Amino acid sequence: MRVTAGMSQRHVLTDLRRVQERLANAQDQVSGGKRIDKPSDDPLGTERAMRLNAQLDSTTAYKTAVDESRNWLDATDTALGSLGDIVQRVRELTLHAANGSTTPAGRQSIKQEIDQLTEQAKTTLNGAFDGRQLFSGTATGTPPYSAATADAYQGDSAPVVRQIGPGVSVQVNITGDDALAGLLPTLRTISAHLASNDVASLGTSDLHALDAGADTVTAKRAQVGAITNRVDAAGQRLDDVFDVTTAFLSKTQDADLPQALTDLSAQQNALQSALRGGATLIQQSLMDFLR
Amino acid sequence: MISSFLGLQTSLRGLLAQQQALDVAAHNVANANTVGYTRQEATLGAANPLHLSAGVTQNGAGAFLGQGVDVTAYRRVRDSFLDLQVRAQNMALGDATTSAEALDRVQTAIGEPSTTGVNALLGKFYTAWSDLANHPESDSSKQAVNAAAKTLADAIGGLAGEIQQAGTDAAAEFTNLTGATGPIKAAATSLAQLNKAIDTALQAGQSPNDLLDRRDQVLDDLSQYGQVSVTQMGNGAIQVMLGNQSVVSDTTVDWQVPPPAGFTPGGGQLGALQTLSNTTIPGYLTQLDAFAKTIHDDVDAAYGSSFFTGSTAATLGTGILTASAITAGSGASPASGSNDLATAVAALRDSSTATAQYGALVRQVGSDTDNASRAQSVAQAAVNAAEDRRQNVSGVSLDEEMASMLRFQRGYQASARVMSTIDDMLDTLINRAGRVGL
Repeated sequence: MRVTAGMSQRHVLTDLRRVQERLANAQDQVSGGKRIDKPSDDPLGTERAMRLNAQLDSTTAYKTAVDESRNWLDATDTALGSLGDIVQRVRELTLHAANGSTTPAGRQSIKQEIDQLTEQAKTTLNGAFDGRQLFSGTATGTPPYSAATADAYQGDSAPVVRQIGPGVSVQVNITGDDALAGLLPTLRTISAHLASNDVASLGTSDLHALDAGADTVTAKRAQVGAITNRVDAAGQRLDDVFDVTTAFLSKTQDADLPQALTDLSAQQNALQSALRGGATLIQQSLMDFLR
Repeated sequence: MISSFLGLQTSLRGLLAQQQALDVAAHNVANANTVGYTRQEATLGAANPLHLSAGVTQNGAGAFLGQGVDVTAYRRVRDSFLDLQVRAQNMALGDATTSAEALDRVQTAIGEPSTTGVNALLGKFYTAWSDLANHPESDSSKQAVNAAAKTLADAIGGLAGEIQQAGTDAAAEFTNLTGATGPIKAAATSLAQLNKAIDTALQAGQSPNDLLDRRDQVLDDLSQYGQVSVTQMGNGAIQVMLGNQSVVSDTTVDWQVPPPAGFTPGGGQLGALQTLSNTTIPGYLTQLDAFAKTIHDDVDAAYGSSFFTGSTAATLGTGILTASAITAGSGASPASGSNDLATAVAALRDSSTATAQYGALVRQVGSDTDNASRAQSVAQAAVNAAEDRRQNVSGVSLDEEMASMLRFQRGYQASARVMSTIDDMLDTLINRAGRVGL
């Protein structure tokens, strides 16, 4: 083959350009830390990275819902706990009142305390969380009970539902009606019996009714605990999914740094030898040796 | 009898021929770096011999007496088959380069994978809905849904605009290249002029080597735009076709501005531009529109009434439900904590095909761009290889010219020596012969 001056020059330039292009790519990977910078770097990988990013978004959103549900359930549990304490105190007072040694005047003061505790049970449930009512069903703008003496439940019975995973939803609320439907009339009855000094009823039917009401509160609290466990488990699962997805995403789109650095120095060497070779090649011609 | 001075004439021819060959070497060296130059060779041939009639030799036969050398032709060392190869690869390179550049622009507009692209904004849109499902009574959550929807729609509309623009620019570039001030019209004009000059030179019996080089160079340049085919018309004139349209025939410029509707360039830059503006870019826009329509349809279906008014990529942003009109729950007057609609829209994240549709579009653009840039490297390598083969035949090798220079210089010196030897001989004959006794 006849190798002309133009040919060898073009070869040197082509080689240099190619090596420089590879060097620039290696540099991009090292400095950007990303294997995929634009879709053409790896079309399938790009699509996968996008899908994984969407999955991370989705998992984060469900984790937010889990945290929200957790807060709601915790506040519900605290309120039900206070309610349990109130019922316990009422039971002690009722037992004391049912005792024959208690004077009618003593029963009057017990009545006053029980009336106060009844109001306290209602205000406990009216305690708002995050600017909304927890015990009013979906009527979150309305307190479950009015502050006045009327005991009617003001909320609705619709469930408050949160989506805590793909296709997984939980009801996070207990309505005021669920918790207090049986208890409030019992408290009112006890108050009336105290006013009328009906010691016999206080010691029998009233105590039975009170125990039934306390059982309802305990059962509701257990229900809240069970849901909390479910939500916690879902949150744990979401954390796992998040970790796995993050790792997979990193594998898909992040540069393998040791590999990239090795590439970079290999390409730097290649460039140097190409430059050195080109310099010696272009210099020489027959003219250098003819007189 | 043969003239005593025949030898002088013979060596003179030698001197002249070697000098002309040296001139050709000088021309080659001078054009060593001229693009499109074909090296030339002075073809030397023995001059017509002197016919000696019968009886001049001892056995009574006649003879042909050599009279030295002549330059019989100035040969242009070129292989037209290699020209075809170079032009075919040039066409492929023009095609791939133009496609790669336009597609790279589209994928830059898409800008995936990123945390600010359409994919991420679609995720943020769904997240805004799930935030609303968590806080159905919150006005700021409704504002956030409205804002996320607008941002998403703007990004999709902006992307549609940029892709559309890439198509419009490709069409405009096609018009520029084929137009009255474009390179094809200019090539047609200069080909017509070169054809005329070559005709004239050939009719005068000359070899217009450098004009032929210039014409081939114009054809090489033209080949990046489309498929160039050359038909010889005799007497050195050619007809040149670009795709299915004649550019020039002999001295007539045939190229029409603008080219007729049925013009197909057959490849090259023009072919790539035609494909981009007629097929590729509209295809991407159709996919993007389908993606926008899926979002529109799915969200409206889950929301139970109209949320997005527009259902194409460009119009998705128009008529989005205002923040105050958004309700998280269904029914005429939903309870403040009711969140079934917001939950339904947020659940689209897992059920809607929109994300996959957009992913498919990005993958399509990515692999098209990847293919085009691969094709570009391949075509570049093929052009280099074809150009090498052509240079192998036609390129000026300085070493070779140096060797030729030495050869012809020595030839010239030797001819001069012969001439002075004959001169000496004649000196003996004229000045010293017949002087016996003087």
